[in-house]
Amino acid sequence: MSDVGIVFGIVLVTIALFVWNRLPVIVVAMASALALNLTGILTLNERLAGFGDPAILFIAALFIVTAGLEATGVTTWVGQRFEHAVAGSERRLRIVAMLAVTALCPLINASGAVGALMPVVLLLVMRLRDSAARHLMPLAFASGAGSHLALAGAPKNVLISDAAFEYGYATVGFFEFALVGLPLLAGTIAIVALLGDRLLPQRAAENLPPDLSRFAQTMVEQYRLSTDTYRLEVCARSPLIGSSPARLDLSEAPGLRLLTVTDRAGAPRLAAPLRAGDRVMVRGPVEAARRLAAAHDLEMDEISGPDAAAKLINRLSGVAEAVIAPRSQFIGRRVFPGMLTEDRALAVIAIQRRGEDILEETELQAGDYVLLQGDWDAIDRRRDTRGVLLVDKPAEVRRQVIALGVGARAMLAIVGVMVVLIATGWTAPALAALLAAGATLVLGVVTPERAYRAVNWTTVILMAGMFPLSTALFQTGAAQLVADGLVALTGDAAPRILLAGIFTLGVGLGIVISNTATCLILIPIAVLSAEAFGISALPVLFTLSIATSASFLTPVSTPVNTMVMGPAGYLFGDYWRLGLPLTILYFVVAVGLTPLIWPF
Amino acid sequence: MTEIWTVFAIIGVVVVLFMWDRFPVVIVCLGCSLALWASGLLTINQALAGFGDPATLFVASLFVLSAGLEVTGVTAWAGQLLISSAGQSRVRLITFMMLLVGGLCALISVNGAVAALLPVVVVLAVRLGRSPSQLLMPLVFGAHCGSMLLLTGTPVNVLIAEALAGTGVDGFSYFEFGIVGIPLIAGGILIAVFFGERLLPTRDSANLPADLSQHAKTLVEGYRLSSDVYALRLRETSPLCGRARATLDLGDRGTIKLMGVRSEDGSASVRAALSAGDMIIVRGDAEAVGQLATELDLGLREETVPGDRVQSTLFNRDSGLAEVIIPPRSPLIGKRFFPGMVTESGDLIVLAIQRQGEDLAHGSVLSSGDTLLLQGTWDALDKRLNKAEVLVVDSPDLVRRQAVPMGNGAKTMLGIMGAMVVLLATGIVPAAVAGLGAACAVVLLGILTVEQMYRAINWTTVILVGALLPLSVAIEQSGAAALLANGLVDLVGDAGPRALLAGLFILTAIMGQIISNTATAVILIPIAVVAANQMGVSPAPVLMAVGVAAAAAFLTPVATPTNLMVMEPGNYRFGDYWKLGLPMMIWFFIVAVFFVPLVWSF
Repeated sequence: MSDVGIVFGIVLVTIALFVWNRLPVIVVAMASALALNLTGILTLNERLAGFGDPAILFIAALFIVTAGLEATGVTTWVGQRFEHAVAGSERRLRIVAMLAVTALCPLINASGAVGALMPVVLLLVMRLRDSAARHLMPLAFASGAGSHLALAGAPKNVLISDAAFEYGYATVGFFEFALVGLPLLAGTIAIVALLGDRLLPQRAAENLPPDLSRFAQTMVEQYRLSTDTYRLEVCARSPLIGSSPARLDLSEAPGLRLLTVTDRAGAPRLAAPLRAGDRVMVRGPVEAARRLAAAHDLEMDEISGPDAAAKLINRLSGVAEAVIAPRSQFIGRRVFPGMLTEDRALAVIAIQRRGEDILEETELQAGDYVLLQGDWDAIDRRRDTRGVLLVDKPAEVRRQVIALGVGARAMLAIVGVMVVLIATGWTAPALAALLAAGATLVLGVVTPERAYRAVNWTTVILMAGMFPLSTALFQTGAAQLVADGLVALTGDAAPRILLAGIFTLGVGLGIVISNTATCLILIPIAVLSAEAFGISALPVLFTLSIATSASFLTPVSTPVNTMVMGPAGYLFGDYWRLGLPLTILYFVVAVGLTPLIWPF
Repeated sequence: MTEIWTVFAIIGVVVVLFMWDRFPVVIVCLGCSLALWASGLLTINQALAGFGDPATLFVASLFVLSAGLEVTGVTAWAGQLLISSAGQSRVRLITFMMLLVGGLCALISVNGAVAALLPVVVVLAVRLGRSPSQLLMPLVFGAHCGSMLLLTGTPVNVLIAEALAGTGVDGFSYFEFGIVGIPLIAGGILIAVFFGERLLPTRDSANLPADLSQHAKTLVEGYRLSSDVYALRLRETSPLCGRARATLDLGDRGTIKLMGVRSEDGSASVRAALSAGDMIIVRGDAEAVGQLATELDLGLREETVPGDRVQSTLFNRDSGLAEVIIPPRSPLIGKRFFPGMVTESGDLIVLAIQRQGEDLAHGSVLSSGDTLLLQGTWDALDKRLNKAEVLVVDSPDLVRRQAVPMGNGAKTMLGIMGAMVVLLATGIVPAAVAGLGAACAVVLLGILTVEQMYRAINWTTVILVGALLPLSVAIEQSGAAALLANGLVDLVGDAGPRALLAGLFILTAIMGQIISNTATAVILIPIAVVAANQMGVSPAPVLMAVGVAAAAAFLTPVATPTNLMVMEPGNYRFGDYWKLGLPMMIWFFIVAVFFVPLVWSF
């Protein structure tokens, strides 16, 4: 069998296995690459070259950058802004997200835009208790229209514009793509709004993290801090300044208990002498607290109301709920509210046993839970202590509750620099993203281990595994063969038939090989056949450009489709349902509208 | 010439950054490959090509296999083997331990082997009344020796085999490493046996890693499940025949608690209907059980089921136990749970409920802080306990890895491993193809899920190899390798090729104490190859000497991650390592310089 035949065979088997969907996609991708190697079409190095391809490292690096945005609370902040616009409606979320992604596309290209917005959408999906599968596909599909809004939207736009220039047509303007891009965007939004509910798969989200946006309020309610807990701020004139909090005399304020003393940032300072601005947290009757405040010139504040959260949790410190495990070494330990943990890093604010408050000193038992307060690092260190279990993961709490936490500005600066580097084209996108990912790790907001977990390896391996197939189609001339065949088929029919043919070819090839490669193969064919018809090549080139943006039918058609596959849990066969109407829309715009704008 | 200095500058900065240890290793590595691009030494594709190098992917696939062995309980089995055959004698224990860790390490690399055996060795030390510090360093050093037994022992072996193949000679074959590996490990054992007691400190350590290998016993005893257990055989005439298992509730019968139902072939299923021959296992006092048996027409054996039988019934390769706590605000608070009941999902059984260490009275509702003991298949435990309703005390996945030797899929896994060894040993396909094929098989046969596979891969090592390989290319292309090799050859002068081996050994060993072994190998391999060419000797002995030297990471705790791993449980100080490390190092030197050229002649 000829090389071309083998390549077609492998493509068919690969697609069949993808559709069958019984084997993990990465195994299929790796096996198809392996087959190309074993049949001798590609060398081992060619077959593995996908893993070292800049495009793949770009995607991997983007995942790390977005993990940095999430960890510093930038995502939460953007999410909160979005939340107003979305106003609790999942349909509105889809549209807002689609508009946002199209706006970002010309700046940081489609993968970058989807990568940046995916965590925000996931966060909001979680708040709405909806399934991610209903939102990520519109996001990915909108990026197709988004990349068609400006010259910088995708590398293939540059190819198209270069070709137009090279073959003697006027240069394509920076925003000229938008002439068809805007109708595409409008049509996409209309289709998603009308048909989305029916065509998007309904996947029960299995591992949805708990919604912790009201964590602080929950803690206040659980431990009943709102009724009798007060925060007393030490004023500049207070006579207490310089004295040790441990010796604070509470006898004149009967019933009052000292819970903790923190500095302004929230770090416990029970051991050090008091300073102005320190906060003394007490629990007890309100009159007693008032008396104490008046006697020592303290400013009184309640832990309740809408801003209770801010008093317990801020960017530097927070609270965590810990349960004593069976057979824990802490069982039998004597504790009381207001004590410090052994390493003096955390304060015990409240203790409960089966939902009842324990206010006096007690011996810990299995199943008791305590509310610990202190800075986040100290809380994080408790995560792996044997014998206690943290109810909610501190990292998750921080990610969801704190908007713009520590390092958020630096992280925004990193992303800003990355965007500038990509948008101006000073460096390859892969390089800009790698630098940004490196800076994220150096900044320390994401540890390498968390970064590895943030990378969606299925996306990376799937892309790298499919890469050799594209190379093989290109190298063996199989793609050319298909293209020539179809052009011969359209023969000398009307020019619009030619457009339809080019469109079909572009979409068909685009399923298995990248948009850029499809453009590379089809540009000469498009121009030559336009000349054979004696018409302007511009409408043909733009048709090709639209066709290569219409990658909606499979998860491997474009990197963004692959990117959303893992997080949303899509199957191979989920894509074409919503993808087909969109492809038809693109077809109508390409064949119907293009010749009106760029006449034959 | 400027290119050479650029390369030197980059190497210098990389080494300094590694030593400074302020930035994550991966950043330094990625920075290095980007610097090679920025300085114009390599194109961007060349600078990133390391990630698509067969060696990188082979290293990644080895992590998947290692995790496969761990998940299926093969490593746990090795640990139990060590416990059961260690005996009382120190010599026997150390010999056996080092052989075992060496053998394991040859298959799954140093990190995997040490991590698997560390908790077991600590338990052994405590049980035999020895100080862990007497055993843990020999464990790690045994692993370093064992890494030279097979191609798969360490990424360095893969790199030197690839480098040798690159020079046009046939690369080192899979078992060829064993020719030096066997003397290395034999010598290592002798050194540890004869000098270990004197050279190792005797210290107690406060911070020992958690040992879950006896977890089943702990739980069964903690929930008092081992006494008063009866097995009741379902007769054909029993009214229970045909009832769905999930609806079986003995809770209204006072003291009797249902613990499980097993079908005749021993498998436990909670979905099926009850049929004649099934064994119903209950806990309760003899009288009540007798009454139940007569009432429902069940066959009752007179004697109770012994405790260890109970344990193996509840906790085996198919199914296990998990302890969960009801957290505050759980939706389960206020629900009525009873022992023997099947959970809503239909695949877990509640074995016991305790409140503050006491059994919960029948009929009470759950409150926060109560603990439940659940039993079910490992899969079900993994899947169901991932929710906010309960807090899992010890993750079932972790328990299974440590406590179930030779679990489900162990044979399949060993089969995959065997097939890969055959492919590697015969060299029918390139190593990377064999490794990736085996990794695909691990996922295809369901031993690891795709997610578990990603978590199993040590990405730091993979990225380190991928990002530093271009440095190797740059060292060679720029002429830096030739320059250094010239210097080395001049220095050695007329002393002959053995002196070259000695020089390279010392260089590699010193660098290896400071920065990662793999990074050391990447930098020194091109130099070694060029030096061998210039002296007109075969590159095989020279590369093997570099490999042996790279494995000799004995002198400091920071030389490898495994040295650091035992530092806390062994309560070692920085200065403890070189005492036993130096004799080891000398032995490695002797093997590399005098033995290696006898096998692979110049």
